[in-house]
Amino acid sequence: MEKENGLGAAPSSLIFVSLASMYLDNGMVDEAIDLCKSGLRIEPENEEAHLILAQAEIEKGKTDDGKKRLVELLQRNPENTAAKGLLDQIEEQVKAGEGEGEREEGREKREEGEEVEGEGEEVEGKREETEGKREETEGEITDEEKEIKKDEITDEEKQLENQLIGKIDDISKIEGIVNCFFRLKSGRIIKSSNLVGNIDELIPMLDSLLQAVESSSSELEMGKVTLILIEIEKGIFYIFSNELYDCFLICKDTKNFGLVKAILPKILG
Amino acid sequence: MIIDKEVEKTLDEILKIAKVLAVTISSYEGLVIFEKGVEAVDKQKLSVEIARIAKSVKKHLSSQVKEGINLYVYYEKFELIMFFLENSIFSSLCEENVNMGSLKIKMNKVIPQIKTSF
Repeated sequence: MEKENGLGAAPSSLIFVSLASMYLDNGMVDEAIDLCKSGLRIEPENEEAHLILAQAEIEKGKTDDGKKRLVELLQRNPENTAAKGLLDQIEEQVKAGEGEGEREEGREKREEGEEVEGEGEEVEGKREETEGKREETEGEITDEEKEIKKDEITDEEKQLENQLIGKIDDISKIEGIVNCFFRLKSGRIIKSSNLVGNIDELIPMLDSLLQAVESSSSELEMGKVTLILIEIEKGIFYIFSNELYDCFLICKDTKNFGLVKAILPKILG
Repeated sequence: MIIDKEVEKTLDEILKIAKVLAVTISSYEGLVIFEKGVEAVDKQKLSVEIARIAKSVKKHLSSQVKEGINLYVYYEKFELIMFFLENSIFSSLCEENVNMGSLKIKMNKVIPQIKTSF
């Protein structure tokens, strides 16, 4: 039986979308583009992937590509408010740029670079807004549970939480780490504000895997599970588990496998 | 058991890697398609558990994702590497501290042959 984490199972398409979003949130624009394109080959109609890809393209300075993608997305689904909002913002930016250009053509050329940068910031703002809304919705679902869990925090857990946040800071220094978080055995998630990205959609899959592997260790008498590495959809997930917590790492490739395997046990102590 | 001789030969090569105990090709229903190596653990049970692990991941993914998922599990006593293919799961059971890099290369090499065999 799966552990209850109050999050439910992630829809099947969300793994690569979540990863791509996480890459984008952490400034890994090329990786986000690569993953979205790869995912869209499998699910060409995935609107969220098109939206993230458009955002990434705009951040990359390929505003026309991003805009075209949003227009096509809206042609398929005129109700996509996130795409519409983003497109409106881009068009406003372009219009503002053109108006400015008519008045002071020379100045526009000088400011072109800044304008692109500004677009990126606007897009970033929009993305944060979208992300915020999503988190807000999820918050509504789990508020009650969170409240209960909050009340249940013991001094020992609080102390452990502080230690783990310190460990996250150490772990995040390892090259190639995109995100790192811990889950206490009580179900409480410990993450650092320094690493952004919505991890909630990934947890059901990682949790399900961990339970299946732990079950296999018991059935086959293989001994305790010390490390799991899974390569999936151009994302790499590491899971370390001990009697106090589960540690999850998300990486962009397996180049740091040896390093993680050697260093992490020392960091985790 | 129907398995290409070339595939079997390559699987034998994998078994020559130090600390590799067994290679298994199993179905997503938990049945053994091919296995070779020492009986360190019950192969039938192993196939069942491998299929269960595969299912635990695949149920969270789009049905369009048919392969390209690789899993490495380090247990206290053994190490298990699994490659999820479209119609089968290719795995190797090893002792601790196997040369995982070498094993991964050799397993990857035989995958195209396995895919054409099943």
